[in-house]
Amino acid sequence: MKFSTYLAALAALALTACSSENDDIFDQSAADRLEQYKKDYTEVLTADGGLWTMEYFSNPDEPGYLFVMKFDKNGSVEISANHKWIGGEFKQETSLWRMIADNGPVLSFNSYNNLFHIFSDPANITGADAPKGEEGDDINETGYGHEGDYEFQVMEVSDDQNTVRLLGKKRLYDIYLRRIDANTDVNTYMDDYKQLSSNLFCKEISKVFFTDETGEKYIVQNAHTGVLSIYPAGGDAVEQTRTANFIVTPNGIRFMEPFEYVNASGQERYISEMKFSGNYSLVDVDNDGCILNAGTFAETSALNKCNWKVDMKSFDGSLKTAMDEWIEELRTLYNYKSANVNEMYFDYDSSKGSYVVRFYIRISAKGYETNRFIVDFSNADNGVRISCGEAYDNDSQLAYNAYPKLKEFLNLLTSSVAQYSSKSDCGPKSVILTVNGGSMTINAL
Amino acid sequence: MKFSRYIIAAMVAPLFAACSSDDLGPTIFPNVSDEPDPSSYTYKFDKWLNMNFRDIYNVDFKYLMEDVEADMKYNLVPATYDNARDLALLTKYLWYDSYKELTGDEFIKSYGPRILHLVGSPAYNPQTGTETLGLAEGGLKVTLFKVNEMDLDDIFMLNEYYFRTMHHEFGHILHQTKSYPTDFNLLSTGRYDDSAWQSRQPGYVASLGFITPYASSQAREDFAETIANYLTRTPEQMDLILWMAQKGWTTGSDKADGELEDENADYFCYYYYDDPANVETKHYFLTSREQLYKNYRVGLVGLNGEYLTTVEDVEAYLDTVRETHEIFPVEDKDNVNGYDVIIQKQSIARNWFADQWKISFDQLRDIVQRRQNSFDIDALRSEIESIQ
Repeated sequence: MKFSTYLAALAALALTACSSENDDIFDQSAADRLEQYKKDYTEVLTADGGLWTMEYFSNPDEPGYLFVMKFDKNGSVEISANHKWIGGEFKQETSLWRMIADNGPVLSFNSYNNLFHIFSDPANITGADAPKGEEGDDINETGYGHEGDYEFQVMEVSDDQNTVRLLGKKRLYDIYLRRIDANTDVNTYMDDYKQLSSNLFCKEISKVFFTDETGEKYIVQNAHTGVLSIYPAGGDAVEQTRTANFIVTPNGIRFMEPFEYVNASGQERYISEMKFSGNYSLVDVDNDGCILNAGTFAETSALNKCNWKVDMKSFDGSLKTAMDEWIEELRTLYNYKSANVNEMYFDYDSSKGSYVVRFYIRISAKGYETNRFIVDFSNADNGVRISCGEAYDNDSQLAYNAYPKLKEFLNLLTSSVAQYSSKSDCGPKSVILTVNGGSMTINAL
Repeated sequence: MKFSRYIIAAMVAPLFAACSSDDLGPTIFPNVSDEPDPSSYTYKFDKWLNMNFRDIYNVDFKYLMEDVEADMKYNLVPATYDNARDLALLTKYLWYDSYKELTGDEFIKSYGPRILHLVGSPAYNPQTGTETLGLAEGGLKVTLFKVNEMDLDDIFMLNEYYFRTMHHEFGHILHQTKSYPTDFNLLSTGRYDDSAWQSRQPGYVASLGFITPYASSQAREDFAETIANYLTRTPEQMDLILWMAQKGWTTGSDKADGELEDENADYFCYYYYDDPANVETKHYFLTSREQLYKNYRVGLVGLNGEYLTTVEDVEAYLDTVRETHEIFPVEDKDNVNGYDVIIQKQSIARNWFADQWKISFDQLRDIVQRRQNSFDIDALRSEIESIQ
């Protein structure tokens, strides 16, 4: 039985051994096709002026970085960047590139470019932004560096040939090239991008909200670093936290890899990209119901417990009038022409568990007063209601009684719903409060 | 059983025979010209490489990074275009043309590598804290690393990282082609340490008969280092190594005779007493380094961090110490005359060059030294710029 099985197998092999005369599946040999791909992709990259942005990731612990690249048919590429590892200044440098046959057609940046290959260089990472150990000591990355790629498999070219998806050859991260207008002023473009990426999130408002399509909220932390962490609001910030790095793009943010979160129903959800909506809120490109922003002013303040400092030069309208009248009152009362309300804050007071509005007042050459009143921020229709409660201490109560204009100022501030606005709903570092015909700017500390 | 074996053999034989009559047909590879494109950014350099390496020596000079040519375990980056161009010029001038001047084209054409590959970064070995400066593989390919750190204004740095590495790797290719005498291996038997050579210091290894710490890793590296250091070290640096080879070295731990010293500790070659009447006040000094930070020379470190890189400087320094203390050389207990061993190794290399290759080791050294002390990079660059 065993022997006959061998014979049958050999007979089958004998019949198939010479059956290599199959019709060719492809018109060209593999080598010819690869050569053709190299030519085609070279043509794509150099067409229409050859100007592209590259959305680049080096590793999961760093944000993505944006480059502008101008591919020339002569084999040179002018790379522009302004990332922190080159000092944050706009720089350009020309090096070499080539489409090579490797793991399929591969885009290789095959001569060193100081702006780009710094992410692949195995040298130790130095400088203020270098990764630190638990005790603040420098981690020695010699032999590893940022561990980024400089060679990329071409995975996909969009039908309009304006988007190319690359795959890092060694690290296997998706990298995108997106064509931009050849007449773009690259310096201005990169400056605008830098403004956008630095204004989108801010370290002062380090916690923002992610709200899914069911209305469930999650806390998102440290998005300003480009590596955010997320956990369910009310959940366990240690056990349930997930981290994800992303790049700010001209259209929103893109995660290095689709990141997973688990909603209240226990369903796994993934987000790969979010686009700008409204005043720089972010919504999932695949689900408009999923939104990332700092929430309302009251919510932002409650979540971050940040202190706000009033820009004393920003008072306008009725608030400026009221503040000026209070200052005049102080000068008259203390017969001191330099009397002034020097500073004003909304501080979070952890002992009271609430916000406190604090005035720092100069009343004589060497005399200062600090007056504090408990306040509360609450959501109101299209704005925030600022409620003023009791004086923080006896001295503040005495001041409240002694300065009628202070009462008027506080009344103006709290008697109506205040409207607020900022440059970014994701990072409202600087907020303009408008109330009762007046306005002032407050800055998160 | 026997029957079945015959049946199987009879059936298998035609399987192989049946497929042997297929025609090869046309090549599947595209017909791509390897001549540089005149519109290319690198046209002049590529043309120069073809004229000076490919056409004469059949060498593919790969200055554009190809990671398939390197060990994928390393994280490496390409060389900058400018540094690659300069190193290509220096490779020709200091290596190929040195041999050509002495032997004509044929020697390097016959025995030179077929691929030269430049890499911008060092090949770091994080586990051992070392870095690989060059590789020679099978007599066919030499890889030079750390090209991006090249500083043309620092001859010692160029010597340390590039010139010596070229001659070291070519030394490997030559001895892989014609073996060096086995007598060489016997000179330092039992004193090689392949795993801890990097923590050995130059003075200590010199006294054991090694020209560098790396030479003390294994015999074939010792041979390549003997060649490369003889050819490229300045006479002052060679004299200093031979001076160190004649000293005794100790960590000062007062180990008993014959007991091994800790090779990670600093080794000193002199001592003095604060109070000559009290042996407890003994102080050791003068330790050796392969280089101080960005000072790419073998040297000795004095009591206050003085870095001394010539015998003359060392002797003058010892005289200043003698003004305040009576000083004593450390007793040489290693039972090796390091000076003699290094000289014997150089002698074996000299005879091997003469016998096997009909090349004068000393003449070659003179040529290499003259060239590395007098190259004019602007003149060399003009070779490329003048290409039409």
